Amino acid sequence: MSLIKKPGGKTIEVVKNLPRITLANLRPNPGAKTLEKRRGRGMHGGNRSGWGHKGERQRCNRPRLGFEGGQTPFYLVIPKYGYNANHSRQPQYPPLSLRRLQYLIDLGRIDPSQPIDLTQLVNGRGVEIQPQKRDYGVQLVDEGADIFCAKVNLEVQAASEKAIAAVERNGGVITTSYYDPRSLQILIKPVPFFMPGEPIPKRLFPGEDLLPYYTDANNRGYLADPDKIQTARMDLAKKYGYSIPDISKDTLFEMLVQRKNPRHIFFGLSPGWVVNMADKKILKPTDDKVLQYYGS
Amino acid sequence: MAATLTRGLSGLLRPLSVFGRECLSPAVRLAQSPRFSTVLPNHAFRTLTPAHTTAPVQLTGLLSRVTPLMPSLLLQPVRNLTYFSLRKGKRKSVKSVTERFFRLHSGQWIRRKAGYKKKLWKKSAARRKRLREHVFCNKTQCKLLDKMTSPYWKRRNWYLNDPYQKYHDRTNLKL
Repeated sequence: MSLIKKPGGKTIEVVKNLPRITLANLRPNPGAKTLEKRRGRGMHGGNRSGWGHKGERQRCNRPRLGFEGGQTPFYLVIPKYGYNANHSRQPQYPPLSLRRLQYLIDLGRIDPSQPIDLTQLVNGRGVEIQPQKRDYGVQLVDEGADIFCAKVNLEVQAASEKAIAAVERNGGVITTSYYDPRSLQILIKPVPFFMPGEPIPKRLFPGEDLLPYYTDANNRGYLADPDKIQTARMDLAKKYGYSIPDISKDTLFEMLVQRKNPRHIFFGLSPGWVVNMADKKILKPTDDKVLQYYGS
Repeated sequence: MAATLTRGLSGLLRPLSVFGRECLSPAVRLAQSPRFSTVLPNHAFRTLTPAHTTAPVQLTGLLSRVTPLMPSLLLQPVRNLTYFSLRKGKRKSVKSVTERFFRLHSGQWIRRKAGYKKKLWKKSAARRKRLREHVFCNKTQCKLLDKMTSPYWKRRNWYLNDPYQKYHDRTNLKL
């Protein structure tokens, strides 16, 4: 019962009295080491060592996978069918549920007071987009439509009807827009694009397959007629049984109404501009032909 | 049968090439080595004709007999599974599997019935209906098909308006 406390205490006294450490005193923790599998030893593990009796099996000469001794194998008897036809050219849209969006907003990873774009979603690590795997953007899925209660200006690449209704019911605005693969790569990772100092390209319009989707007001397409979108909003409200809140009287009205130019990739950055990250400057072209090209 | 044919024919041609080996120029030897190819360069024949007239005449006679069989002998399908590719060292998928089967993300594979387009006039309506159905593969077949395809075919795809979207996940499965 000494008042002075020694570091280590009684254990150090015990260790000092133990015999010196030798190989005879050391042992690994139980379960740390497993014995290696040694084939062909012992009465029943030996002899043929688990390889069978003669033939292809013992001599490691089995035919290729799927071979059935000369009979037309199963995987060739079945006729061809276009299940995976054009698999490498089909656009894909990883889903974003309203539940996840609400979660991200609640955690502060996404700011609802600014327009929510794919860039914001990727910055907040909300979705993972792989343009190399033919991802053309994000689709809004209606899981969590009942608990969604955020007022947002959302821009996605595809959305289900119920998800659109859920966003608009809370006084938000949703738009579906198209990004071609190059623009998408720039959109999800803007800084690696700005670093080499290339001019921002203009966003291409959708091809003939996707054009009907983005010109349809029911999908809130960015190329659709604004009046038709207005009527579509009212029809959707009637269908799902809610009243559309009047956005014009909202404090965030200007933010909610903000929409990108169809040819722009970013808000406020025109195609043709060069962003200098090092000097924090934006360079704009002055040549007429260049301006005409980027203005078209 | 094709293999024995090639061996027999090569035996027929071999004495000809041995006979002419000392006198033949290297350009002609190169032209002769792909023995059953129809696409022999024209310039090789032109160099042949003024120097040696007897050997090419016999060769062309044999070639004309063999030509109708050639494409099937040459273009034998390769059905092996590549475990480690030459260039990248990766596992390769067997294309015949990808063209015929469809993998749902739950691990099940779907296929069509063999003969669903053939001789339908002699099949009853019930039989035709059964053949039109898309069918699951059994467990051993699924395991085989999984081994024959690379992980790319096992990834989850998010297509728009995918007819198989709702089948990728199992529901109410009690194990």
